Amino acid sequence: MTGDPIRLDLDETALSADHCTKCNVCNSACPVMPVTDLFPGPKYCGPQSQRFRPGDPVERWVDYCSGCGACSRACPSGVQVAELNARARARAYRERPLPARLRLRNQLLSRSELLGRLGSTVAPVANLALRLRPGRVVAERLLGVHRDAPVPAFAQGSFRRRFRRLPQPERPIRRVAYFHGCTTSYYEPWVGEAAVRVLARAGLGVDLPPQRCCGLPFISNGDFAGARRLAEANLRALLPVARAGTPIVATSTSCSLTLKHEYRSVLGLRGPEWDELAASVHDLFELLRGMVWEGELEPPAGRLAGRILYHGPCQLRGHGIGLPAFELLSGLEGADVAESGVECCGVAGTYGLKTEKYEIARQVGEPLRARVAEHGADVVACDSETCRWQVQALTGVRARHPVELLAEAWE
Amino acid sequence: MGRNGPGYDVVVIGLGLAGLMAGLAAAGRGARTLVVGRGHGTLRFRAGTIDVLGYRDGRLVAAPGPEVAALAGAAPEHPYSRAGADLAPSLDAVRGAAEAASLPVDGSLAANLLVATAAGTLRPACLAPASLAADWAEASVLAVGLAGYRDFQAELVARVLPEAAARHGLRLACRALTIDVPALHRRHLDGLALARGFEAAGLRREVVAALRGHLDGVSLVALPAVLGLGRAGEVRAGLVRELGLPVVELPSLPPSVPGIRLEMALTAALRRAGGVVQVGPGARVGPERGEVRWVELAAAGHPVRVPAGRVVLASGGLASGGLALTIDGAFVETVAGLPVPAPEAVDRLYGTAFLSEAGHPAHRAGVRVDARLRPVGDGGEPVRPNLFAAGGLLAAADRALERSADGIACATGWRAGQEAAA
Repeated sequence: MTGDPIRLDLDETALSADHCTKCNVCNSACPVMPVTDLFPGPKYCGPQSQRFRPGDPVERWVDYCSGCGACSRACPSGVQVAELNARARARAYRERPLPARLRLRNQLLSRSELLGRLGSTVAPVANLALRLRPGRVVAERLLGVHRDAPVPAFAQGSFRRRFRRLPQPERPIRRVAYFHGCTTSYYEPWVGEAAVRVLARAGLGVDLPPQRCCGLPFISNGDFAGARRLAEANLRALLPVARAGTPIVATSTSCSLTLKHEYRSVLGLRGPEWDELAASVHDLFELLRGMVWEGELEPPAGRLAGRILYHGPCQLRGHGIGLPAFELLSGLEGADVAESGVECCGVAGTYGLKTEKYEIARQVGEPLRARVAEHGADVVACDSETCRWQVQALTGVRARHPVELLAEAWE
Repeated sequence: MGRNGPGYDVVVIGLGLAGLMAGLAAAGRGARTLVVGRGHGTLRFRAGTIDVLGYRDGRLVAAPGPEVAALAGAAPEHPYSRAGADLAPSLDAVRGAAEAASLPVDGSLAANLLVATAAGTLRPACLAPASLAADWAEASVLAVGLAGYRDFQAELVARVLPEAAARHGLRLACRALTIDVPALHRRHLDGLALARGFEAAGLRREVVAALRGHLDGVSLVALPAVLGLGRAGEVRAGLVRELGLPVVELPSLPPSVPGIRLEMALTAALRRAGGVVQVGPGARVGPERGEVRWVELAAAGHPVRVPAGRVVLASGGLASGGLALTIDGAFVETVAGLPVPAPEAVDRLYGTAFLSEAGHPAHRAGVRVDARLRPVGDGGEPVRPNLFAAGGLLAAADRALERSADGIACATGWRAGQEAAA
């Protein structure tokens, strides 16, 4: 080719806006729109506003998109609505910075890894501070983190240290690499312990490659530069694992979706290496179900106790893999598991923690609260961490990762 | 069929009416059933009526049941002929699902109803939500618009409806009134937001108050079809009680509230029958030829192969992307790569007038099927032994001219689901 190259933005996410037929199906699926007029809906924020970008108007209302992704899944034309919104939010923050207080708040909430590392070393003190009302009121005034927002407790000692003590199969049929995420590291190490137990029970040896926070909280808080730094670090650490043919397995469906999808479609990180990384990432239950389907593994057996309501988090549904945890739990002996059938718990990562959005998130979660109450569940099973904390706060019912339940049931 | 294989006994591709009916039929027969589709189906755009046969050769159909039988006899390639002309079981299934969700349904195969359109004309429909059905004869209609809701224009309805009724030999009068209620001020209004709003007593009270004093001589109050979503029956009953008059809903622009209500009812029925519904990823079938063994979902990161005993394709026609037209005028089927013969010898696929009464030959293109609704090749042999097709994908019907899209989707979806679970 000769002559002046015509510069085209051939980014798939940006181009997908052109497929919008203005059918409103995304608006009909959005869980935020029904509870607040501050958010005019995915259609306006996404494909319609996209026609004016890049351009001067940077709209503030896109900030009220929770990023749950229901719109992208609902779209019959393949428009990546939520991805467009995430980009628009990052740009809005960049070009019209938030007040310093909220900027600081968002920076803190983005840094789940740093918070975890600091908090878990002084866990008793940090937990006390988080539990005490005065501390939360101060945090609300100073930072805009709502005093009643669901925040987890720090665990003492990180999962990586505990990992060495966990039993592994003597003769693994294969090895997998575990991407534990910040939550397992610093807040809920027992989820990682259950994961290693379940993987061992499936005959899989578990490696723990070096890894960083997936970067999703940075993406949700509009800090794409920060998110890209983490993505690059994870690529350096995990690409050799992927190239060795070792599946990368995650228990948090939020982290795994970030590795599979957000890096490429939101951050725009393109190239074969990103595709290779994405292709090697599996949700733990997705991997087990695939092994069962391939005849490599007998379906997990054992007795599942309790009345369980399974809530498939938005991020899991973004994977497009169905509900593998629900399917495997349902196959256990005596399983009393029902699907919530509700779109979103409302919290959407760090969205529902923020003072200005706390009430919106609570109202988005109201149908789920009602469903849990009506069902009379002893336990809510859910694959994403912030959703579990939100469900517990909304309902008072204990929320657990399905891998904990499987680890207890599977002899 | 074996029920012990991995994955699902039946995977249905498509979340429109045909796909949900196929899923309902298969799950109802005890098959482990997954219904999956790229985004929500077309029920979200449609008026929630079941149009079986509205017109035949340009003539208004009064009794769809007998006319479908006659059509099926005369046109062996027509989907109604392929599905078997008895539509009653599939329509009963729709009615059952709707009524289980407290959405009473009017109409029968014996006589078409006349249902209003958003533009104020009247059209035939076999089944309709009771809220959309009305006795138009000699009615004195008050068409009520809501200030701020631009997708429904009461003045348009008032101008068009009397003439439209006269064309059906009905006399009626219609007056427009647009009410301005404080509960809707400074609100972002689409049909769905209004439908949710009407479930709160406050908005209903304000609407009733705004209508008082305008009801003299009125025999029927017509409001846009936004009167509640999950609790629509309750909302309308409350308005009828307060106004002391019958209330009819007139369809408005998408998102279509009555269509979403029907989708919710069918999805709930499908879940009760044990079926799994997955909204999101596109799908393909594999391997490339012979018996279908899996459905490959375009999942994030890497595709997922869902083992499938049998597959029902309900991926829709040209408008839904189940069929596509290449730049050189060839039709392709987008999910399984099935053969799509060009419509019978025609010079051009499209006529020159958009709303041509002769229709467009392209609309008759589609997949041809055998007596069990399995897609066939040129020789009439099934292309795949365990693949079935239903709905808008099927050839040899001009659904727009016939007003037959919903009936075809119901009948062929139901039948294909039963065949797949047999």
